Amino acid sequence: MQLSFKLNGSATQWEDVYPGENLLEVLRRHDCWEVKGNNCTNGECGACTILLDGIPVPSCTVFAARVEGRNVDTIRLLGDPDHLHPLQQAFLRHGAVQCGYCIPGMLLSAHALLVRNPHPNRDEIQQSLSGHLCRCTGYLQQIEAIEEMARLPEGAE
Amino acid sequence: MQPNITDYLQPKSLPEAIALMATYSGRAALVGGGLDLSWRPRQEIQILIGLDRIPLSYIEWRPEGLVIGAGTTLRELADSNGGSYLNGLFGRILDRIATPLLRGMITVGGALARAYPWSDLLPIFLGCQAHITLFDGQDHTIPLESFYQGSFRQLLKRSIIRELCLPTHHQSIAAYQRFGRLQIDIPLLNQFSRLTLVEEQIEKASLWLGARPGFPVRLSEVEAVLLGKPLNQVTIGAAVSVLSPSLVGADFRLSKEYRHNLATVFLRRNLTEIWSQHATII
Amino acid sequence: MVSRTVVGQSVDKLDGPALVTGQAVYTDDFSLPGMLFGKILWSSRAHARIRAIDTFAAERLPGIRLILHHGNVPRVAYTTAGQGFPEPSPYDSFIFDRKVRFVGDRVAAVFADNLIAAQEAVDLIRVEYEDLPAIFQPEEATQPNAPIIHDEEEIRGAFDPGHNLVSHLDLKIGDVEQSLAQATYQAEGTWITQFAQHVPMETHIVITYLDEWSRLVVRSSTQVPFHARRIISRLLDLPIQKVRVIKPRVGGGFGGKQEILLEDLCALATLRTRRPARIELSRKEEFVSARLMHPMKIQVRLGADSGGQLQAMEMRVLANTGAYGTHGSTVFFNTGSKTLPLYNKASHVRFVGDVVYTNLPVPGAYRGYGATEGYFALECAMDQLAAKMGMDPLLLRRKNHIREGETSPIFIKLGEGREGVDQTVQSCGLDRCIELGMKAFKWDEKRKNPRRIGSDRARGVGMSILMQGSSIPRVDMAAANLRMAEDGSFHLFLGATDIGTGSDTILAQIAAETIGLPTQRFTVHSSDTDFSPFDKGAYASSTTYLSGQAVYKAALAVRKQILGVAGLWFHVEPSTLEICQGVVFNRQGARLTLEEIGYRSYYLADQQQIEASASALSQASPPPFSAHFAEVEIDLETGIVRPLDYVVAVDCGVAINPELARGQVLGSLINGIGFALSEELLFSSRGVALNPNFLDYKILTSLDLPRIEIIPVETNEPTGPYGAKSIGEICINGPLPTLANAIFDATGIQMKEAPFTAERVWRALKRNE
Repeated sequence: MQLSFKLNGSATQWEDVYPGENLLEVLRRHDCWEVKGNNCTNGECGACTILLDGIPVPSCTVFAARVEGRNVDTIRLLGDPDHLHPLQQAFLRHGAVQCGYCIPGMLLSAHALLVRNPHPNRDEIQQSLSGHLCRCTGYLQQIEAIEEMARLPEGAE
Repeated sequence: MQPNITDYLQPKSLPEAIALMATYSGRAALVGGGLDLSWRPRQEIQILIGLDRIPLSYIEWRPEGLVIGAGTTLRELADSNGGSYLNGLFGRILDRIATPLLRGMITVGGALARAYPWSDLLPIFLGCQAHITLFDGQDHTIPLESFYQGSFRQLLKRSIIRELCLPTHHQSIAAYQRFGRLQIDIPLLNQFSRLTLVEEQIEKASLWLGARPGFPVRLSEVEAVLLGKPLNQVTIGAAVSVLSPSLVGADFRLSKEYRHNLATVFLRRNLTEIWSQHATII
Repeated sequence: MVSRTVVGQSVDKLDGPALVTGQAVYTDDFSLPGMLFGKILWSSRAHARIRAIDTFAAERLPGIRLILHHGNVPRVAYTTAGQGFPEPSPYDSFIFDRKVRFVGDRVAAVFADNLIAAQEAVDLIRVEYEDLPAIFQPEEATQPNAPIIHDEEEIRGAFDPGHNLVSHLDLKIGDVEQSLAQATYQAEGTWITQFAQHVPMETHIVITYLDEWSRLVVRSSTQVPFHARRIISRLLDLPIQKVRVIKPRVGGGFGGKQEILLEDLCALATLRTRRPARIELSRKEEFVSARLMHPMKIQVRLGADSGGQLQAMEMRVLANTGAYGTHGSTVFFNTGSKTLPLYNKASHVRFVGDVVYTNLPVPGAYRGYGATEGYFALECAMDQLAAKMGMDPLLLRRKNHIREGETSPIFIKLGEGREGVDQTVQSCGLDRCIELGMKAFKWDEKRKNPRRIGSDRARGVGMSILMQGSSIPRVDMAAANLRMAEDGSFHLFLGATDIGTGSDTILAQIAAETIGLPTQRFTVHSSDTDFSPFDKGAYASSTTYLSGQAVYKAALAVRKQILGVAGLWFHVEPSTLEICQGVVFNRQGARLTLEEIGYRSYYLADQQQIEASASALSQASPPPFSAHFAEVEIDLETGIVRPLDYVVAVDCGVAINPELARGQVLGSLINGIGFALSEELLFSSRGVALNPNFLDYKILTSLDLPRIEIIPVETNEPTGPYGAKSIGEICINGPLPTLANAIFDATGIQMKEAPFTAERVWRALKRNE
């Protein structure tokens, strides 16, 4: 079947989508390698998180057909290696990135939080990351990086 | 990828969806959030009927109470003023369910239809005497308790949940306790208590024990002890003492003995919490 | 020596920009035309002979290209352990065997045009089993008449396979029995650890293909590319020359990827079909059929004199290595060798134990490598001893721990599955770790607080001290190659295997510091066995310490070459020149950029390549040290344990990159808290894993953190690059004893079985009533 949606702001139309496929499978099949985490398939690890109309959801649990006509954003929304988003820079500065596998998902959840609430407190930050499992770090450096962003004046992100 | 699925249909109205369910009876499944089906693919399902295009996502305060469309996600619910239900307790409970990511996927209708043995929501909905509205060509509104007393899975083969109404209970105070192995976990036992006190006497009591594991059970014997009594240490002690160990079971997660202990502790703490809240109101 | 400008700075990870933008960097972010998808059929029986495998129906499905099983693959005994050669692990595994030894063992593999067909075919394979009696309790493994799990004639390197013994050791120094009998104070107990999994966010995955020379290319999420190459070559009877292993970015390892688990199957598929092949483990498969941590029962006996001086220490270990002996003996040796030297004042020491086969999934290497289990027992026994003496547990440790300039007889007696290497501790910040840690934690103040909070809660504090090692001395080698381009930038080729730790960046910092220019001028390549020099891989807390020495030596040599060219240019002795920020200065202040040197060397005069290779082999394994402090709150009615505060003071020598070092501490700490509170793979009475998923195997999330403070305590390790020691493993050992000791302080109950789940604590509280 055909799927039309906006991917990182660009109108996208794919012809070869199967009705039983989830969004993660479809995205990776179309070389969106930036969406990680092809293994838990239960939405429990958070690595494959994307923004669906601005809301972070695990793409492995979203039937692809559900995104017809909607906005899907991946980590490409934030920046590329030569033009990092300040949030991405903060993650690096705070040592929040080790193997990096969970990081695109975490960044998207953190970004969605900061868009809604530019000055979240620590509890809100911890909440926002709690759907993302990470085994390399202790979450603390990500929390500190987001706290640094939360201290910035409005609009600076 | 679920290879047995051959079509994903997107009806625009409930009558259209009901017609599709009839046409593909036995091999179609409804997709609200779709989480259950991606967790537990079912071989017999060939047709998916997506509900995204039917306006089922809404939260409204009506005179009869808080009305929640079946397509509303827990995240939408928590972000809305619906969280203020039960003096904000409802919002705090929503914040503990699954993970923020999954709360963006779980719909109220899905939670009602699946009725997982580890539901956070069912003891609360049942304890608040919620009403469910089902559409099978026309709307039927029935108490949630009677919905589950019937063969609701059969009923859901020919009807769709439209909405849930949580009635406003003036003067009632509620409390909720759950056990999880870490902060993020399914509840391995939960207890919801709601009391209405009139002139220092317990006039109404609605107490539920959930995730026993299994479908929530109403603690009628405990309610009987409470009704008509003043809420105090003695009453609470008497209430807790009639809690039967047979209400809980064992699985590899927790033993029966430990679950019973949790039930006892949670019931006592919830009643004590209500008592102290009542004291501050006065 | 020039003051340090790069070492000691928290420079951003060089691969950071790629990682935070989700670039295609992992094994699976890659697809090849004609790729086959593999799925493995796992044993449903705990112990059985395979009478017959019927693949008739499976083969007839469309898109099935190859089915592998014991009947059509080479039979070569080997170990899946990615260790140096000859491996200290027994050769007790086969690609496929005629026997299965646990629920989740390999039976067959299907390769198909797509994943769905592969899975359907796996489901259609019919296996006829002859069930054998199974062993699920390690105590039963050595009983007379116990079933023999490894009865194959090819097995080599196990201590006594006829009695299910992978390893046995009885090491005695002095006379422990007599000393214990004479000791004024004694402590004794048996501590039990669980099956825990590494839970890398990226599961094991391999993609293989043939290159333009028909050589086998193996793209693998591995910690040990060179060992993988060697093992594949031997298994498949393929010259090493014909095998190339590429390690892309790896999504976490923690020891679990120090194993060759999928490479052989994909390689066989590619060699037989000449098509690319891929296998990725599902999360469930990762839990059951990858590797775990060794469950151990450890009995510790301690004896001290009236002043609290330790006289005797005894550690008796029973380790369960599951169905295969990979890392069995080395992990067990480490249980003693990484713990007992910490208290080097005791003159009577005994370390004795067995490592046994059972019909359960397979433990292997896991961050901490046996020390985690050992410290749980030893440091809890220390608190028991302190309680008996009425002494502050912190003071007891201060009286007994090893110090700079001291040694332990254990160092030489216990190595990696064999004898160790004698060494004297040349850097030890443990005194300061304890001092700074207790101050930050407010140890004395908190110990004075009441234990009881209200009617149903109790609080308590606990601590522990730890050491680990840095590399495996006189066994493991690391090499580096450093090459300058004409623009004055550098390519650093490493066999050292960055699996997310940031070692590429840390090693570039060492090179940058040595030559005298910013880290950003380095491009790091790790690892590709065609281009990288040899390195043992990412394990044994060795990358910064050992691979760092190789990089340091190579960079020194390159620096010398650069100065040589500059000397010719300036007509001066190279020793009169300095390099600063990538510019060479002579004594008159004249400047020469590295770019000018590069262009001169490659195009203009005295043309020569500026490059050097160097290797390092360590003569010692200098221990990092750490002191852990925790406060917990216990709900006395439910048994729920909540860590409130956690302070870690840690001496890793000089931290090359402090923020990355802190990340290592935090990651290992949180994993260790998971061991203490929730992580445990459970089995049915038939050996079937009950909770191989995130719903029921609980690892910590961002909501479970106590307040954490990490205090770096710098020392200078003279044998390490720029004074560095290791940091990767040590802190995973802390939470089990620290939290257990805090629970002991709060309640008077020693939790001796991990994890300290609410139900376990509640039962212990009830028993104590």
